[in-house]
Amino acid sequence: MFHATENLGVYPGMRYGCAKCALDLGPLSHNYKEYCIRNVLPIEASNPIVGDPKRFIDPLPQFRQFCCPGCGLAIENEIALADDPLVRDVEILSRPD
Amino acid sequence: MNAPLKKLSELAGVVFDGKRTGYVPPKQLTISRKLRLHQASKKTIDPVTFEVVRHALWNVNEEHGATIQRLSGSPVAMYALDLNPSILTADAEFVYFGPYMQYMSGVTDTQVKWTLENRSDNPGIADGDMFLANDPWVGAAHQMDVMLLCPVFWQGELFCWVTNCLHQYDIGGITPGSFCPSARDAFDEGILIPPIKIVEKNEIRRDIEELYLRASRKPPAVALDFRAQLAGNTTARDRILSLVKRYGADTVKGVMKKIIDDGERAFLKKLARLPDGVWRDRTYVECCRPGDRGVHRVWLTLRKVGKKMVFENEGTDPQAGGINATYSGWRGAIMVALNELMCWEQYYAVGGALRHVEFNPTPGTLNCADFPASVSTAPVQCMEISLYPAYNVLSKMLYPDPELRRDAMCIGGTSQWPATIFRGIDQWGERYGYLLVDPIGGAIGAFSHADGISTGGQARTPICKLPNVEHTEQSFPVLFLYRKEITDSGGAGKFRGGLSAESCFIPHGTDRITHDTLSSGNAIPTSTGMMGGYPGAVNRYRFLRNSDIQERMTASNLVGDIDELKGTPETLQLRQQDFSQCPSDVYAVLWTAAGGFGDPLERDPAKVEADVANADVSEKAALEIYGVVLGDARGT
Repeated sequence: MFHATENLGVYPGMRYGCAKCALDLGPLSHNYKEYCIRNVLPIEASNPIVGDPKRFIDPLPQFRQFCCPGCGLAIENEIALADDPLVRDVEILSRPD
Repeated sequence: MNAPLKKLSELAGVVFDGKRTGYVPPKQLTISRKLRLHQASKKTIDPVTFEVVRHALWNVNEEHGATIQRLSGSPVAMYALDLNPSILTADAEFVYFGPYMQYMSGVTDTQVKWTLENRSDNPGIADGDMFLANDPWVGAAHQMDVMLLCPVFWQGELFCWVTNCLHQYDIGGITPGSFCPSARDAFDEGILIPPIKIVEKNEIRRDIEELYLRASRKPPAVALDFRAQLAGNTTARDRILSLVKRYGADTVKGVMKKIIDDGERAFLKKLARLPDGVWRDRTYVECCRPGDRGVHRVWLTLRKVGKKMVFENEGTDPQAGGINATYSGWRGAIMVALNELMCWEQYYAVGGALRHVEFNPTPGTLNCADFPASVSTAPVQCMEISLYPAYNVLSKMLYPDPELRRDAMCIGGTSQWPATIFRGIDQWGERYGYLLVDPIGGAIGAFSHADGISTGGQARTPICKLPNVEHTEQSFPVLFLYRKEITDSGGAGKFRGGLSAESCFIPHGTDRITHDTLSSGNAIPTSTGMMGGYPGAVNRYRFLRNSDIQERMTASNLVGDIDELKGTPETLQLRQQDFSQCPSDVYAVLWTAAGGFGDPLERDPAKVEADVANADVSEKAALEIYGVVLGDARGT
């Protein structure tokens, strides 16, 4: 296994998995976030200083957390407008040498 | 409906000459035969001489920056160090960035290349010349970052360039200070100057200087800054020529080339250790003009395949209102993160790495805007929002290697700058206009192995200073009530982001200050965390009208927080204009803090307890975010 990120591993067979419990998180050709538990929270949950966004903007931002379905480890977070698609933040194409 | 925008590589029949679109230098520059470039260089240099000369070149930049500071009368130069010098080869490859405001170097090579292509024939480039330039479509962040480009000649041949960039106090436009939040386009903003010969045969051209100063509300300040820049270049040029006289031109040129070639080799070694892949980040900018309640998307994609890296901004929203940056601004911003995360051990010698990096943005987007888009606010919004996602994508690219992941760094504080643009009559009865510089205090993002640094500065400026409160009070009619780090501002994580701070002030020595705000990142955090880490705090303006501060001060009752005061709170909007602050009105400005790294539930509980003891984290956050019950290991 090599680490794609702190909590996302790349396992034999070129598949993503949790770096802690090794639960499969899909093939490299997919967005691993689709295989995670998704926790969608209001933006105010992202930091205690963040207040009501409606004071300044009309669109609704969210704080999205992507956690391992096996052990609950937070793999990644995302800040997004409600209608925006998931970011495919990591797309590994090959193993490191 | 407008046709979809196309990437640079997809556009045919478009001339990227710095007029309507940003200048994109060709691989082979067209330079007049009148200008001879010094080509000879030693291939083999003994290691001791190499180390001596390369460190001397580094010190040329440091002394260059120090010279500008000493001569400039501006608080921007003296206290904020809003400047940077650079050394480039004759054909404008980077040798060294200076250690100050990094993006000011990142936009310089296009200015020099444009000068070589467009000025080498008419009026010509000769020994004793210097060129003044600030056009963002040629190479600048925004109009106020004025460059002075100095060719260094040796025996009739162009040997190299020394350049500097210094933020000017005011160079025109509809708002004093030249940040123009309500600008409709570039014609509402400061003067635009493609490279123009302002020094000829070591004499200032008075006609050109007067044209330049005529645009400014503060011509004596700008004139002094120009002379500071001139002195900086002269010093740098003299130091390089001293090295040439001592070691020989071919040796000094050989050192310059080896710096670049070594940098290239080191960069390629790092790339070889990493997997091929694509890394993406998306962020948002708020409020493109007064009254806009919209949100504008910014994308950054990094593709690494073998020895090549390509940056793109496909998916970014079209240029709009007053929030734009140009091609050189976007490219120069990304170069900063590249330099800091991947070339730091080469002393910020990014020239070699750039031989393997392609920039392929989409013209017409808000961080690759076409002329005449409004760009005066670029460094506080659009360039920042172009730079900071670069830390995320590069960090994720580096992470797979166990050694290189130590260079990963979360987005730092002041990822969007909460500008407080103020003006009026100062304590000496003179007109003034200024931008509160305190947000330069920033914060450093968490690392893969350690916490970030609270108020550690802005990551994009290795040498930066937070002005002393007393210096600001000396220069402007304000009195600070406090400036303090804010609990819970740092992004939570296994490793915590650095805290940011809040500055709070009232008018003093004047009966009124007139303000504009200019901000983004007040609703949506822009210092996002990474790999499970949470974002840092947003920007926050707090304004209390008709407070009891004067009564409190009369009673010698110091204030620790704006919340302690009575008064009428007002919500300031993100591009609010022409509002007044009287001596009983209190204004507090918090800047964005830094992102955290890793799952907060993985943070060592002992560290969380220490955070709470130090007031970095509240007890509430310790429980709700970190899952730590203080003093109760079982409960944690």
